Amino acid sequence: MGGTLRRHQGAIALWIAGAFVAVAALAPLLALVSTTEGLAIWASARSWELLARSLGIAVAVTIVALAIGVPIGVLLGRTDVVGRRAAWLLHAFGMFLPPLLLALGWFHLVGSMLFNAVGLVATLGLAFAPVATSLTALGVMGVDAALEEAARVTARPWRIATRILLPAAWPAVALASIVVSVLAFSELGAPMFLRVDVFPAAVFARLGGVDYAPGEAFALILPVLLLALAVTALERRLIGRRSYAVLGLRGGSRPPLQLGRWRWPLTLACWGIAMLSIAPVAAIALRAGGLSDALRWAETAPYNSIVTAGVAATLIVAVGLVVGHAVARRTRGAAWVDALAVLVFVTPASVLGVGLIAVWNRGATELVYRTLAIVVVGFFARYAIVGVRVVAAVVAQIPIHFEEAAAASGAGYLRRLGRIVLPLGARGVAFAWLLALVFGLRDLETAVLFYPPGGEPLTVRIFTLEANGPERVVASLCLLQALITAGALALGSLLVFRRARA
Amino acid sequence: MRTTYLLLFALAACKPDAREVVLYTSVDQVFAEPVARTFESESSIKVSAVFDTEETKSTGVLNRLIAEGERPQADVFWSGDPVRPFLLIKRGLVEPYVSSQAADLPAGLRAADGSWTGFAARARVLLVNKGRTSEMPRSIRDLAKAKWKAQTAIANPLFGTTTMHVAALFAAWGEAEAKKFLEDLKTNDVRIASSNGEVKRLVVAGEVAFGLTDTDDANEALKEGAKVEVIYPDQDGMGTLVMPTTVVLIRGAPHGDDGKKLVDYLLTADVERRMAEAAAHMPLRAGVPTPANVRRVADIKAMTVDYARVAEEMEKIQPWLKKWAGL
Amino acid sequence: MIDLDDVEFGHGDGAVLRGFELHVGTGRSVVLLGPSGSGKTSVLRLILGFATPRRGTIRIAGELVSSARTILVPPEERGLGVVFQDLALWPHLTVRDNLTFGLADLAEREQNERIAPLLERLGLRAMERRYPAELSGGERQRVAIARALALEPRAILLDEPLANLDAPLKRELLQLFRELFRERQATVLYVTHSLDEAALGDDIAVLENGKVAQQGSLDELRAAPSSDFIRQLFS
Repeated sequence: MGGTLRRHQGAIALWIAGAFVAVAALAPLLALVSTTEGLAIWASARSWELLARSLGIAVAVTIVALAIGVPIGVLLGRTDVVGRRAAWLLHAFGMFLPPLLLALGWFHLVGSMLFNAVGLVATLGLAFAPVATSLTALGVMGVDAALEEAARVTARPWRIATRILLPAAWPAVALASIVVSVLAFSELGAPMFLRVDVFPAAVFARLGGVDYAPGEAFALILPVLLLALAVTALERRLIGRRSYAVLGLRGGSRPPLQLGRWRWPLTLACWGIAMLSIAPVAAIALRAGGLSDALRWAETAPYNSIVTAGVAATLIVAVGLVVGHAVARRTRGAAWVDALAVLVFVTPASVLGVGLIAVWNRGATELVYRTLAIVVVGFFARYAIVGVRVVAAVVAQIPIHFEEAAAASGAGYLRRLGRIVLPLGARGVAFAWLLALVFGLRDLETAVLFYPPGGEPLTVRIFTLEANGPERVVASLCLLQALITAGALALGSLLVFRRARA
Repeated sequence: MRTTYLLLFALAACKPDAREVVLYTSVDQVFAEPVARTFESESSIKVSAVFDTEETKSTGVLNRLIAEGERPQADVFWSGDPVRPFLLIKRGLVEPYVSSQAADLPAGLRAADGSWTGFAARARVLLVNKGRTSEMPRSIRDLAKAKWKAQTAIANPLFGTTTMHVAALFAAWGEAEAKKFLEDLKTNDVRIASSNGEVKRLVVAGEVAFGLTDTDDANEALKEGAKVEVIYPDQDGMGTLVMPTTVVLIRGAPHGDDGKKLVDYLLTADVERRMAEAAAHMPLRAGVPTPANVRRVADIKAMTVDYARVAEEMEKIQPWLKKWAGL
Repeated sequence: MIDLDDVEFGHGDGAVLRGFELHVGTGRSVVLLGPSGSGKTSVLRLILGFATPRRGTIRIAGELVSSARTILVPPEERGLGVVFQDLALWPHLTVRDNLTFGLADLAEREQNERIAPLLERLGLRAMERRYPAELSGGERQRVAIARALALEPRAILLDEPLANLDAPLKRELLQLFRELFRERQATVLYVTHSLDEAALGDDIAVLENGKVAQQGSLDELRAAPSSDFIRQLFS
């Protein structure tokens, strides 16, 4: 019996991990399917118009984000731009904050000229550009040193960057496009603040309006879910295994490409973008004038945010380690769990929220529903994909022979995972945890429908207080949110960028 | 590491056996929370609250109450308007409770059986930017007048008190006239803001000449020192819509007895006074001191409203309203 | 010791191995010789259990370990040692830890007893506490073979381990392998495309068109090649 269990460790682990994802993510969606009242809502031209608009905005935001992020990513990732790590941190900081917070900041800076589709695209494009920057940078950093060094013998940095590094890091750019377009499409707070009618708002209206209509909401998101599945399939087909060969979290020890006389102009350009990214946060900080208001009004919200995001991140990485490894190694069944995680990530958060209430608000699960645990479940469901995909990328970078040598040495699945994969991928796994943590800290739309009374995360507290709360108090709470995020990133930087032994 | 987290989480989940009451409210958190904290300190009963966001105002919390209907988590619902509680009453989610504190509140603004009780009211007002127009609007119909084309604003009628106001118009004018008015608003390029707070911002910023909003939002504009005027519309006609905040006890609530204590507290004259001072809410009972900028309900001509009927209209007009709002 | 019977294997619609038969007797060294892309590495992966045959059977010491589309015994239970072409030394483990990784079931004292002679024999004693990144190419090769031998496996499989080395180092290591395998009377399957390394084995099995075209000693193959391909190979 023990031998049989040992022999099937991998399959059992994948089943357990898959069960976690199914319970957290699939069950709420299935609970909603039963409420669907048909597709009559799609008879209205307005629904199609909104869907087209949201898709258009998502595409525009993706283009802006890539246009900024890809060149900056190459520069910050592989060249001798001055202070590139600091510039990267400043630039990336904004992507860890709720876009609505950034929109508020931009509003303080430029006023109401922001309130249109162009303003929304610019705001979101800048907000999500660091996603493209970071993935591109990590992609070019992960390019095989031998490839780059072979090119350095004959070519200048520009040619190396455009003919060797970027093509090799193309899966990173493709992944960035997908992530940015999903985030841009499903964003609710910023478009509503900037008064741009978008598709997720229509879904929200079915749940935030007077006649509670989850059935209509589910009918509305069906095309989105189908689109998500289509995009996932396309990604698999086009990018295939390379999709996961993105994060170059090993090998940072190569000398950077020398930019020569272009060094200072490009340094200025990078720092300019970094300043632009941090400007709305600075505007909020100025408006806040300090933290005293925040400390008076925050109550337990910061604690709620940190605990729920931290626990969720740990769960996400634990499950992500098993599923991500299986995805990277193409274990049977892994693709289904991955697809499910993608599906839930794309599902508008408000719909997920209603499904979670339907599933968990029962006598037997009271211990979950009435405590912070329900927020953890919500975060886990929504952001499981972060753990899966980042770990998959990390594992794809680990030559399979390392695991095979371990297997040949008698190590079972769990031992291979714990003694070979995890140590070799430690930096990447830490990065996955950090990313999941900041997604949880930044979340608003997921938790807002079902946080336990008195247990709201800080983001929700900011937005409920925004109604007639003094602007200074709201800004001060936003500043607190930004500081907590900065603290998490600082801690994460220590974990992730510590020099690995290998 | 895993063990540490599990422990932390368990700690977070475990609560000592202190008394607790759960309040769901669509009254602005900045006003409702201090009231809740005072109740806590006076009664030693912890208040755990769920508040609404600006955008979903009063419907997010309402829908959560409906979604949780099978197993209520809330004990008390303090609504920012008197009409949404009817949606709960209709679904059998409310426990009638006649509070002793309700005795001196006007009979017309509470249910005899205690299923809902109104107090601390707001009114629907026109907030005017004095720099944008010298002529003051006098009626809500002015929102659709051609001379103010593209210069007026209302909040999204799918959310918040605007829903109630539109439903009240349907009830008062009839379907045909009310629909025409809304179509005229569209023709007149009225700006549809995400919330009443947003209407206030638009008016204060001078982006529109005037907008339809609530008295507490208007009061905030005055407090900020904005050059605005507050008009109680239709004083010569049908009257201004007055919306008491209302409190209901939830059927099957987890802490029913303490819920009643909270209801009793909310309905005191002291809370009306505090809501008047902090949020410019108009007291319903006589003798409650109010700041100078807060009118009393008795001092204005209020629109005659059957809140139950308005609640019905609100549900009926939803499909048409969604089309009108473009969602 | 290792028996592959009527094995078919391939990717997609094609078949790299078809009707493949190979037998490696206990204590014998067999060199599997063939050009790049002929399926040599696939043979190793099938024996190790990292690939599944479409048809046929694979036995190790008489035990059926793989059959058509089924892995009956997983890799960690086959008792085989392997040296990959890229060596796959675990970069985060010291030389010592690399060697003892597969000996987790033994007490520390027994682990030391097992690896001490190997470290001595292979000249690795001074490098016990070092990491693979700190070793030269030749030293890493020694660690890789030591790691495989430390398991006291039923058979050792080597996948072109010397492919990236210069000629003098290659000669030195080949000689070392020859001595080690003889000392331990090891059962060895050595995969290569290099004729120089073919002399390592008692037998050479030549891979052609997805099958073992001929198997025998170097002299036998030179004397009586069964095809033009083999004749050219050994001319």
